Parts: sequence; C-alpha cells; structure tokens
Amino acid sequence: MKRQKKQPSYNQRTLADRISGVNMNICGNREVIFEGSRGIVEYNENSIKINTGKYIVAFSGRGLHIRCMNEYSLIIAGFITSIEYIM
Amino acid sequence: MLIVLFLRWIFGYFDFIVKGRFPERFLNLASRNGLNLWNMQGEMGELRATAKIADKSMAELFAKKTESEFIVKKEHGLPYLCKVYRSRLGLLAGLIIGVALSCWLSGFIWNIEINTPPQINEYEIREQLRDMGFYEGTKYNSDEIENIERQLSMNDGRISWVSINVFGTNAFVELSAKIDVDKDNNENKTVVSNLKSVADGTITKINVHNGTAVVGVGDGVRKGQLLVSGIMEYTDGTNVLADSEGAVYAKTSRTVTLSAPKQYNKPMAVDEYVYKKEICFFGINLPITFCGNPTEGYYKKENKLKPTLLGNSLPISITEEKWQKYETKKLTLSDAEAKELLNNRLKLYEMFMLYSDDCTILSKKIKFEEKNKTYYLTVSYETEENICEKSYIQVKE
Repeated sequence: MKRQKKQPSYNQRTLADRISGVNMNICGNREVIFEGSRGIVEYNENSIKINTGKYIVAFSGRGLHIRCMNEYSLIIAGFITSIEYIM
Repeated sequence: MLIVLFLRWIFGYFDFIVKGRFPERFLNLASRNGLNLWNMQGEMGELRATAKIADKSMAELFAKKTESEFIVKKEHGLPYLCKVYRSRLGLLAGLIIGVALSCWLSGFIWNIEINTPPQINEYEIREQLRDMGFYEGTKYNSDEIENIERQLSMNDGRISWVSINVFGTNAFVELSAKIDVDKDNNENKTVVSNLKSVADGTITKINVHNGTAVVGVGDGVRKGQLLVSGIMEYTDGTNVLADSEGAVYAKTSRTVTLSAPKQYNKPMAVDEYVYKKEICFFGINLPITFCGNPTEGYYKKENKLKPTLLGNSLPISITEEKWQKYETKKLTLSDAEAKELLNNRLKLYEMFMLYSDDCTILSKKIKFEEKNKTYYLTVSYETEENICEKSYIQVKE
C-alpha cells in the first residue's frame, strides 16, 4: 500500500522550482498562490507557515485555509493581515 | 466546477478529522504522496478536510504515521448510497426496471410535429400518416420512415417532398408544396385572346391597349359578342396575333331579387351539456368518463391538452369533449325584421359584386313585397361597367 515517491517531471516543476526560489502571486489580501513549498510547518485558521528550504513564510490573518495543494504549490485563501519571512 | 462536484459525487467522498499534536505533518505527507484534499480547515491540533473514498485507506495510513487520531465524520456520494441501500433489493429492482422501461419506451415515437405550408392542412397529413401506420405510440423504424416519406409524397399530389426527422422520441415532419410548373410554362408561350362581352348593354367608352376594337361607342352589344379581336390586320394585308387587353364600358341594367321566408327553422343552443374526458397515455386512449356519445341534436367542441416539459411534448394528452344540445325552433319574421335582413343582404351584394373600379351604379329602384309567405326585395340597377371578358384562342405553332 506504500506509494513510491514520484519524481516530478520537467513540466511539473514550476519556474520557481527551477531557479530554486519562491514565487508568490498575491491577489489583494484574500488569496495567495504560493509556489516553492517544501512543507507546511503550521496550519490553523489564524496562521499558516510554509517552509521553503531557506526560510519560512508566515501568513497571519482570519479564516485562513488552503484551498488546494500539491507537492510544490498551494493556494492560501482567507483574510490575510500580514506576511512575514522567518529566517 | 459543476462537473467536478458531479464526479466527486459519482466516485464518493468523505469528511474527516485528524486530531494530534502536529496535523501539519499529515498535510505534508498528503501533498507529497498525491492525496487530494479539499475543504481543509485547521484549528489548534485539529484538521478537518474532505477526500475521495478511494483515498480513505491512504489517509488512515498517514494519520497513523503522524500518530494522529483519524475520525471519519460523514460519507457522501453514490458508493455511500449503494452501501446504505444494499439490503433493499426492491430499490435496485425498481432502478433496473426504470432503466429498462425508459430504454424500451425510447424506441417509440411519442410526439409528431407537422410543419406544413399554408395550402396543405396539417390535420389531413396527420390522418394520412395514421393510415400509413405512423402515429404517436408507433415503434421507431428508420426503414419504415423512408417508405412513409415516399408513400406520402406519392399519395398526395400537392406535396413535392416530405422529410421526417426523428430526434429522440419526437418526430418532425417537414413538407413542401408542389409548384405549378405548367402555369409557369404557359407564361412563356404565345397567348392569343379576344375580349368578349359578359352582359347586354350600350357602349359608352372604349379603351383598348392591345388588339382591334370591333365595336364603337353608342353600339348596342349582347352577351358573348366579340368586342376586341386578338387578330390585328396591318394595311399591307399581314396579320399579327395578340393577347387582347383593354376595357370596354357599357351602360347595363340588371335586376337582383333577394328573398327570405316568413317562417323559418333555426337551431338554438340549449343549456344541456354532456361532458366526456379521455386520457391518452403512451398512445393508449383511456376514457375517464364512462358514457356514450349523445344522439342527434348535439354538437361537439373538442379541446386537447398536451402538457410539455422543457419545450418537449409529453406522451400524455387529455381530450375534453363538450357536447351541447341544439333545438330547432320555428321563427316568424315581421315586416320590419324582413326588411332589415334583406337590406343587409343587399348591402353585402353591392359591396362584393358591384362596388369596384370597373362598375358604377347610376341609379337603382328598390321594391319590397310579400308573396306566398315569402318576402322579396327586388332591385333594378342602371350601371356603367366594364363588360370585357378574356376568351383565349388556341393557336397551333
């Protein structure tokens, strides 16, 4: 039942991946399309912290949730009040 | 988005809660292993989410790995419904019968819509189709439909082509009327005609466009006499055939007698009704009211209700018949009533027969009398009218 970890194909890797960085598309304070995630560190309705490898990006606000996600990218929705980089 | 929801429902999904110290670990495992989650809501030490039923075992495994408690809150979708109603065989049987029935019924024609040109009556075509075995409730057979198309266009001389298009259980009959080809061909042929008189009279005015006038102003003519000849003679003795055209006005006199019997029979509606109802269900007529057709003296009014759903007629119709009784009553006309009736008829006669560009009433004398229990209105007219009538001559070329 244990699934083997699939290596992402070239197309699956985003631009952010290839240049080993983070790409964020912020739509007002309601939605963020985040690319370059290495894992979720904290997840609750007031705070979402995402590990990017070099640093952690922390989103604070109200009613925060992840709308959809895959291995490298995710969409955060809710009322965002701040974005913080934790080194 | 709707298709996504529908597919999720078809494949089934479940809501769950992961309770533990680090539910984020569950999320990371899920994203790395391709476990698709949605409706994710995180609280302190708790994660609520939804996933496909097929991924349930994987989600349980990840929860175990992260040392979290895994609680399934609710299951949704078709697999869940199947599980719930597995023991109720009647539902399954009903579903199978329903699907089989709809498959079987879709092989019939339940609605026929006929689109006819103005010169062809829709009812006649419907009756002809019925005689050929094509009616609401008949089984769909594409070969038979081709035969019906051919047969219908052969049987009815007014039809040039027929097309029967079947969409689902609806048949659309399209017709095209024949164009009179002979009439068109005649226009290209050489037409030779004379103008003849239609009444006796004295000629007052002649206006000839084509042909040779053989009468003059002041001449007296009789009915059927030649007025304008279609054979034109030139001074060098040669003849030319022509389609005579023109107008010859003459002073004419005519007498019209209108009559009305003093006593007459009139059918009068009585407040006595017989109602009949019939339901047509999938081509089968079932009477709702059990009574026969009334005997003589009743007239029928029929009203057909055909319900539609989303613009499509359903194979159900309700026919309401209202039979009203009529009694024949003997009535007697008074002098004033008879005069009024005959004057009204005279007005109609004048309107349709006399008042035109080609006829002028110069004078009229009206005489009203009663003879042998009948009223007569005799009118003598002095008119000036165009008395020409075309008379074609057959010419062999």
